[in-house]
This record gives sequence, C-alpha cells and structure tokens, in this order.
Amino acid sequence: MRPETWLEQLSHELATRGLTPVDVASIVVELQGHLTEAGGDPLGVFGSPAEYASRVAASIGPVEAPVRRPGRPRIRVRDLAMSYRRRPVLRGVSLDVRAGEVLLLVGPNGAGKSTLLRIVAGLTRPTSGHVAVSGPIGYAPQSGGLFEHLTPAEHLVLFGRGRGLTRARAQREGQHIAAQLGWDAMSDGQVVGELSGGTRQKLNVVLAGLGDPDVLLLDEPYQGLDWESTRRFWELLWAWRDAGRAALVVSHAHDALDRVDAVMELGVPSREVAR
Amino acid sequence: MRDIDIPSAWLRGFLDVCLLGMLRQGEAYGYELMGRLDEHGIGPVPGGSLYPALLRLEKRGDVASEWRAGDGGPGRKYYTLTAQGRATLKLDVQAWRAFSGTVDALLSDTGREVAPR
Amino acid sequence: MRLGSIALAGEMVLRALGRRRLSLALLALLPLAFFAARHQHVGQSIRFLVLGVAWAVSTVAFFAGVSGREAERRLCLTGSSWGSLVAGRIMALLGLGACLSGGYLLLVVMYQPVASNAGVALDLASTTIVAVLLGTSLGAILGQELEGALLLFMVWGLQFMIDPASTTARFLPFWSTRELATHAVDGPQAGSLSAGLLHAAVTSTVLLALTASLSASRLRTRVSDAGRRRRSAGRRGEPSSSAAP
Repeated sequence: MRPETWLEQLSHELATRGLTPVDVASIVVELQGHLTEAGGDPLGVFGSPAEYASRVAASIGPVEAPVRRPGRPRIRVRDLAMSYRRRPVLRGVSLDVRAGEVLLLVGPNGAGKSTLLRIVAGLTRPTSGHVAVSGPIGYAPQSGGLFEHLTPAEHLVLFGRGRGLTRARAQREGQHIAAQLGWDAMSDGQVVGELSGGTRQKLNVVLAGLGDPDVLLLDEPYQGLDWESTRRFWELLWAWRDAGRAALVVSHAHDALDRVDAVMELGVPSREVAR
Repeated sequence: MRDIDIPSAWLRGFLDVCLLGMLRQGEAYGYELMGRLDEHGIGPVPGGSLYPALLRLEKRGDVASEWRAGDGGPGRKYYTLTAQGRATLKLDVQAWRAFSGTVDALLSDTGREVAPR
Repeated sequence: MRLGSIALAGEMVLRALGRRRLSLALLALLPLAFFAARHQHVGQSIRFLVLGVAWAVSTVAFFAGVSGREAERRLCLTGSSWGSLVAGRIMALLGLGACLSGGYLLLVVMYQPVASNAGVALDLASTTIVAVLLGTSLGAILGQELEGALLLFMVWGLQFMIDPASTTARFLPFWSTRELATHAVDGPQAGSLSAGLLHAAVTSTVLLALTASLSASRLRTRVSDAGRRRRSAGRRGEPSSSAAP
C-alpha cells in the first residue's frame, strides 16, 4: 500500500476513535517521517491502519484520567434560613460549590430546593443567612420565566443583550448550545406558549448557558426530556463543568446521583450526603 | 545475541523499560530509537509497537517530546527522558535486577538434574 | 440604560403584542363603538371617542406589563437593565397608542370635524400618554390579571359616573381628557386648555414615578446590580471584584 493512502486511512481511523485533530496530525507526521527514512510497505511496518489506530487509542486511552481539581468556591451559602408566611421552608443551610464542580440538590417535595436556588440566583431574599456568588449567573427555572408570545429565537436575542451579546452572536451561541441538546432553536417559528414542556426546558437551559456564565443554577433541567435528550444534557453539563463552571442542580431523577460530584439533601438537618 | 530468538512476548513486556533505558543515553526520535535498539540486539521492534509505546510513556509523563525542524522534510519528534522518567527507570532497574536474579536462580536449580532416588 | 437596549425591549413588546391580533382588533374597535353610540351629538361623540382610546390603550398597557413579569425579572438577572425594559415597553405602547390615535383623528377630521381639530389631536396625544402610564403603573402595582382588570373597570366606571364638574373628578386620571375635548369642541370658554394640560402633565409625572419606583424595587436583584458594576468596571478597564451581598 502506498504510504499516502495508509496515512490517510490512519487519520480517519484515529479520528473515529476519538483523538483530537491535533493529536492525529502529530501522529501522522511522525509516522510519515519514519516511512520516509525507513521505506518499506506501511502494512508491513505498522500493520493495518485500523489495527494500528486501535493500538494507539489503547496506549493513549484511559491511562489515568487527569485528576480534576475543583477550583475556588463560586457559590457560598452560610446558615441560610427562609420562612414563607411564618412557615419555615429552609433552615440552617450551608453549602459550597466550587468552579468545576456539580452539586445536586435532592429532597422531598416542598423541602425548599427551588427556593434555595431562587435565593442563590438573587430572585428571593432570605430571612437570614449569607449568600455569596462569584461570577455571572445562568439561571433556569423549573417553569415560567419565559415570554409566552415570543419565539425561542427572540428569547435568545433578548437574553443575549443582557449579557452584552449582539443579536447575531446571541443567536449563534444559542443555536450552538441548542444543537448540543439536539434541538434547532432557530427553526421553531412557534411561540413559547405553544412549545412542549421538554422543548421549553431545553430553551431554559440554553438561555442559562448563554453568554458564558461562571455559575449555573438549574431547576429540574431535564424534566420532560426524552432519554436521548437527557443524555445530551448531561454531556453538555459535564462539558460546562470541565470548562470550569460551577453548577447547582435540582433534580428528582435517580440517575442524577451518579452523574454529579456532590449531593446535598434538603429536608433533613442539612448536610452533605456525599462528595 | 542475534542468533537467539527472543520471544516477542518478552519484548512486549520490556519494551517500555528498554525505551527508557535507551533514552537515558540521550534523546532520539522514533526511527533512531529503533535503530539503536536493534544495535543492542533488541529487535527488530515492529514500528507498530514502538510508537504506541512512546505515546504511552509520554502520557504517563516519563518521557517528553519536542518537534524539531527536519532537514528538508517534515519535522522530527524527539523524545527525552523526564525527571519522573529517570526515577521510574531507576525503580525499574532495581526491580529488573531482583527479578532476573530470582529467575536466574530458579533456572539454575531446575537445570541441575536431580539424581534419581 | 442604552438606546439599543431600549429599542430592543420595545421591539420585543411589539412582536409579542403583534401576535395577539384578535385582542388588538377588539381593543382598537372599542373607541369606534363609543363614537358610534353617540355620533349624533358632536361634543359627546368626541369625548367618548377619546375616552374609548384611553380605555383601550390603558388595557393593552396593563396586560403588556403583566404578561412578562416573571420573565422580565429573570431577564434582569442576566444583566438587562430594568430601566431599559420598562422604558422600551412604554415607548412601544406609546407607538401603538399613537397609531390608534392617528387613525381616530383621521376619522374625526373626515366625519365629525370640529372647531379645533388640532385641539382633538392634542387631546388624543395627552390621553394616550396618560393611558399608557396608567396601564403600566397598574401592571407594576398588581401582578395579577384579574385584580388589575377589576381595578381598571373601577377607574372607568368612576370616570363615566362622576360628575366632571365636581372636585372629586379632578382626582381621576382622565379628567384632562374631558377638559381638552370640551376645549376642542366648544372652544376655550367652555374648557380650559392650560388646566387640562396641567392635569395631564401632573398625572403623567405621578404615574411615571410610581412605575419607576415599583419596577425598580421589583426587578432589581442583588446579582443584577453586581453584574452591572462588573460590566461597567470592565468597560473602564478596571479589575472586577466578585459579587457578594
């Protein structure tokens, strides 16, 4: 086999095994040099492109996953208490969420999870306690918070403006995030009031992520999403986390427990269940 | 040593260590390493094993790589031993000495014929 | 509060309202119904026409303010300035009101010309402004649609019932509407131009102040303040500090 053909196939095989374009290029150039000096049939020297690619992937593969060290705290809550019409909703809640970390809030209905999120977002004032958030916030409520008579695209422009994005950039960024959730935000000519619950939640997540916030507050973000969309949501959230954002997520779903860095249970004297 | 066939399984097991040892003598690029190993009687190392092994070592941090402009061709990737690599090699050498000593003793014992009772 | 942000907010209000065609059509025809009911009597038909415009415009303004309440709050969280949102909304509503008024002015000029068409135009203009601000401030006071609608009904009921000559009438928001209409139809002896304009100006100022203070307290959040500080710090090139209450 001609070296060029072999190297071309190798490029493809390496890419399908998940190597980055930079790594692929590096490997291909190195082998190209070798073949130039050594001569000979690549098949004989290296084996088939697929086999070789597999061996490379195995070498580079899960050796030791780079240890992610969460950064500084982006959310700090101390002794938070909230009463609504003299009924205590939250009592003595303290938590930290660091950059590059996802904290899951669990607890029975009415335990105050959404309220806590709203307090951290700044929408509600707590009865007592201290909340500090560092960096811009992206907040996705469980329901509401959208303009019923505007389309998703118009929402992107409006919310983008608050983040200092031009119309075109907001639409582009929003479309990019939406694509990661498997949704074409711009094609929907329907107004939000006509959208399904799942699509509305996708829009909420997109709006929360618009403009590169440092902190994400997501209330039941994938409620109503199908299995495929749920998977995509978690991949998106992990990508955000690895990029250094801090996320506080409220969810009832059981599968969420394994996919986060830390869990906090409300409704019992607040303590962290696991980290 | 060329006339004795070294089982490829043994080679595979020790390739990483041999590469480290080779790099301790000085930096080299892939093809050059192949040649050097061959000179020392370790080989021929198939290209299909050599480069993945180098990638593995680099990933572990025992080896660092640097691209140098080649003379009239694409650049060459030169590998050098890192401090961590030097430490690893030292431990590997100790382990090897201990291991080979044990195996040696075992083989000498079994080599001696046991006198029939 | 930048011009671009205000224009964007206004654009979105218009887009949202523009989709509710049936509601808009009904509200636009309301003044016509009033006008037609009294069209034999010139003075009354003009007065009721303008009052009808006021009612329609204030209703639209109220519902425009209420429908996006939660979303506006969330918008301020991401860094939008509450001032731009409210100003944009008011501008958009003024534009809509101007279109409606313009249409009805044309109607008056063509079918029921009076001594001073300019006076009618002035009446329509000042009424539109007061109506927009009344609806907007009600929307800021009451977040609920039913309660707000009922309050609007009360205002309208009183406006029609109370004798315009009595002192109590001057406390109603659209006293100026009647006064200016009378001035346009019956001349300066019957209705005082300056009194009407003064009343409209004072009412507008009070309602605007009410709207501003209520919106500020509702839409300003801890975070949005910090966000603006950070953004302006970034613009000046200073290092931004992390937000903490």
